[in-house]
Formats: sequence, C-alpha cells, structure tokens
Amino acid sequence: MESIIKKGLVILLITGIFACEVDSNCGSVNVDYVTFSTVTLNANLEEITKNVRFDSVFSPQTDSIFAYQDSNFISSFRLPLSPVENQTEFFFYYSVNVAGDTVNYGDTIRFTYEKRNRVDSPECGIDMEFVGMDTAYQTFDSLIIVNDTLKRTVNAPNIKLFIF
Amino acid sequence: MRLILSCLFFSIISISLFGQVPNSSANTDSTEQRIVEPERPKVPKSFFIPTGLRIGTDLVALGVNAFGDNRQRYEFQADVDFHRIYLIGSYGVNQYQTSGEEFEYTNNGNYFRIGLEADFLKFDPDHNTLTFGLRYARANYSESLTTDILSPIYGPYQENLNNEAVSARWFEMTTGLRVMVLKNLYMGYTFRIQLNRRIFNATEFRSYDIPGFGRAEFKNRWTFNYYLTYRIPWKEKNVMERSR
Repeated sequence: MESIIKKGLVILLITGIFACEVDSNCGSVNVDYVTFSTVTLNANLEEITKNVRFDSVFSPQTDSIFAYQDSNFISSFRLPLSPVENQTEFFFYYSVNVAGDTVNYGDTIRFTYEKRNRVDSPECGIDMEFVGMDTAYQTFDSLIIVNDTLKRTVNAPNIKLFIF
Repeated sequence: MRLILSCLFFSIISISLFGQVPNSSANTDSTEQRIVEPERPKVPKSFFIPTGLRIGTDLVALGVNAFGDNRQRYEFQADVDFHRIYLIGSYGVNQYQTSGEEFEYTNNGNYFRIGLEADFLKFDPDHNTLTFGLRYARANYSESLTTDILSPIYGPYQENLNNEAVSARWFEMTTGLRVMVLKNLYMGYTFRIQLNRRIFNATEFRSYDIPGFGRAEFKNRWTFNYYLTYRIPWKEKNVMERSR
C-alpha cells in the first residue's frame, strides 16, 4: 500500500511538471489568404517557374482590387479569402511572354471552404481557421491544390497554377 | 507525446527509487543468517465497512463567484471510507460568459468526477487524511458564440454559432489533505493534475471553456480546490494499533 502511494506521489509530481502548459498568446498560426505559384512545364515535362504580369486581380465580393496594372512579372502571390461566405471567387487578367510576344489571358477561380471559429481569449479575440479548401470552378489550363490548410507554418504554396 | 515522455521519465525514476529495497537478495552473503521479518497483522474485514459519509463544497468556487464577474460555479463533493481507501465523487454546475471587442461567449453546463483515494495516515481515528487519488471526470455543456467582425477587405459580418450538446472527459491525479477543525467538520485542499482531455460534439466552433476543467485549448493542466466538508458518521472508525 505504502509503495503504491509513494509511486503515485512521484508520478503526480513529475506529471505535474509536464501538465504546466504555457498559456497561449495572440500569435495564431492560421491565416486567411491562399498562396499561389505560377509554373509551366519544360521540354522534359519538368515543372519550371513561369513569370506572369497581372493587369488586374479582383473579386466580385469586394470593391478591393488585389492587383491593378502591375508592371512586374511575378511567380508567387497571395489572395485573401472572404470570411463572410464559404466561397470566394477571383478573376485574373494577366499576360505572359510566349516566344517574345505578350499574350493576354483572363481566368477565374472559385474556392469553397469551411470556416472554424475559436475564441482565442477576450484579449486576442476570434481566431478563424479556413479548412477543406477546394475549387468549385476554375478556367486555368491546369491547377493543383498542393495544400488545403491555410497556416503560416506551411512553406509550400497552397495552389500551383499551370500556365502554358 | 509530452505525456508519453513524462510517463517514461517517471517510470525510470520510480524503478530506480523503489528498486533499492532492502530484501534484495543479490548482495546478501550466503553465510549471513536471514532475518525473518515479523508478519504484518492482517486488516480485519470489519475495518472495510464504511463508517460515515463526508459531504462538502468547494470554497474556491464560492470565492470566484463572489469576487469574479464572469463565472458562477458550485461544486459539491462526497466521500465514503473503506478503511484507508475512499470512494469519492463530486458534482458541479458552471455558467461562464466572456466578451471581447468582436465577440460574446456563453457556456452553461455541469460536470462530475468519480474516483478513489488512498490515505497515507494509518493511525488517525479522526478521519484526517493525506491522500493520493485517481479520478475519471466528465462534463456536459452547451456554449454559444456571437461574433461581430469587420474584415478590412470584405466588410462587416456577424455569426451566431452554437455547440448544443458538447461533452468532454478527462482523467485526474490528485493529492489532498483534510483536517478536522471542529467535531465532524473538515477543511482541506485537493491539488489536481488533469490529463488527456477529449471533447466530443463541438460541431459549430472550437470549444473554449469546459465546466470543471477550464480552458479547452489545453489537453493537460492543473487546478486546485479548497473544500469545507461535514462528516455524517454512523460507526466509529477502527484503526490499526501501532506496533511500537
């Protein structure tokens, strides 16, 4: 009996140390934006980065325009999802260089997802998590969802857009 | 992972601590005469008949109710003795609300704990106890979250989210002290390590507060209660006599 009690006390003391979790702070790992990278395939069918110049990127769900007559060619960017609804639609107007010529394109993506709310604390407010992101509609040549989790800690882009 | 590591760690320590028992025969000289320890007196079966019921309430909860704004909690506890083992149970009701700039949260529910405690004090006839115990605990509750958020890009939006029938369970390791301050009136604390919390049926948003446990974001945590209890005796307690 004494042996059980002594062992129990040792267990209690040691477990107590590990039960002291650090209180959370306001730094959430969840983000509200989708990250994109633009790629194409070379002659060996290997993925290579494709630089794109966006004339405009916007969503009909907001008056904000995410890109407008941007003169830079880029291969990665990010766009915010709407927390108001469970879907967000984006229209892309962009141009790429094809054999020295500039070719203009217009494409659309509609994302669907679920939102999960969590009270972080009265001080930190609400932390919203976007989960299960998918495309309900898209007109790009090809597209891969690399990662449907929107978190700051994920280094890979969420979406790869294939542009040929 | 942390729990597994801690289990491994304390197992190693326990083995090393309690492996040093004197009756280990590995080092004894074969010529040495073995000392026969006197047989321990057996505890009569009549000692295991319960001698009374102790009921009480958590004073920490009453203090929080009196001095805090957000929580109303009442907890009642009862235990019954079987010699040096106590069957112990507690039941509590909890209401909690909090708000921030962009939300209001309310929680309403109840919880219970049930378990056993082993008493260290062998020879105390007054039911003063110094115990180590284990508990199973479960909470049933509902919670609601109302948000009013302004997205800088997509504008303002409101949501009303309800987790209607949430339940949670966890385990507890406890140690506690009860001391008789007046005839049949006891006061004492219970220190609890709450482990392996699981939540069921939180469908609309992530649970924030669990009655009897606290912040739901933690899987393991510790807490402290201070009880005032009254013992209703129906039989004198039998204790073993000291050998010397």
